[in-house]
Amino acid sequence: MRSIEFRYAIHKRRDIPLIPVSLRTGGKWKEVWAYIDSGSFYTIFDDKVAEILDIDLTSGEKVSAVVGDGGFIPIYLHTVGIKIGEDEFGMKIGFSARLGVGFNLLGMDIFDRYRVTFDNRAKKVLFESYE
Amino acid sequence: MKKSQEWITKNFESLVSKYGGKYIGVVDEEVVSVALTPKEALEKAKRAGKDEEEVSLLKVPREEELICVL
Repeated sequence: MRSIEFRYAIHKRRDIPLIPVSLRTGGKWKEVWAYIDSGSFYTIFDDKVAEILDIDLTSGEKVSAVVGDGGFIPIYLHTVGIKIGEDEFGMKIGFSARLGVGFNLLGMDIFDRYRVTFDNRAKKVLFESYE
Repeated sequence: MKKSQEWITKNFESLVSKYGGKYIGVVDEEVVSVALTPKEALEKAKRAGKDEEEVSLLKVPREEELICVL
């Protein structure tokens, strides 16, 4: 089982599980940071990240997701290459212009591939690949 | 782990203070570009002579967004 760990970012004594992932759709890898959010069903990046991947945003499958205020936001799903540490795989991720939070989000779909352990005492998050 | 990854994690709080609401490009231990979009941040970094695969792009949250999320 391959594993990789990431230190938490800290802001005003709060632990923030923010990690770098690399994305691509055939060109060069682009490293973008994302917040690990087990409360999000989908992995969602803001629509502007789609631009650097040469993705035609609205050509993807459109779904709606409920956000914290009870409203719905449109998300367009696209299959991209994703790299976490040295692990590379393809995954469908969402892009939205109305994400409305300060982070890109790694959602529950990433937990299908990894056992994710939040170790608050050690201030780190551990990803262990199931494959 | 790339130098930029460790540096961003260690300096996150000051990055939020300085660049909240923007995208930054980081190479090693240096902010090489600041912009409103990742595309612009990447282009600025490339114009500064950086290899795009070395640029780490961080959407820096505003202070109030951190309170909302957390």
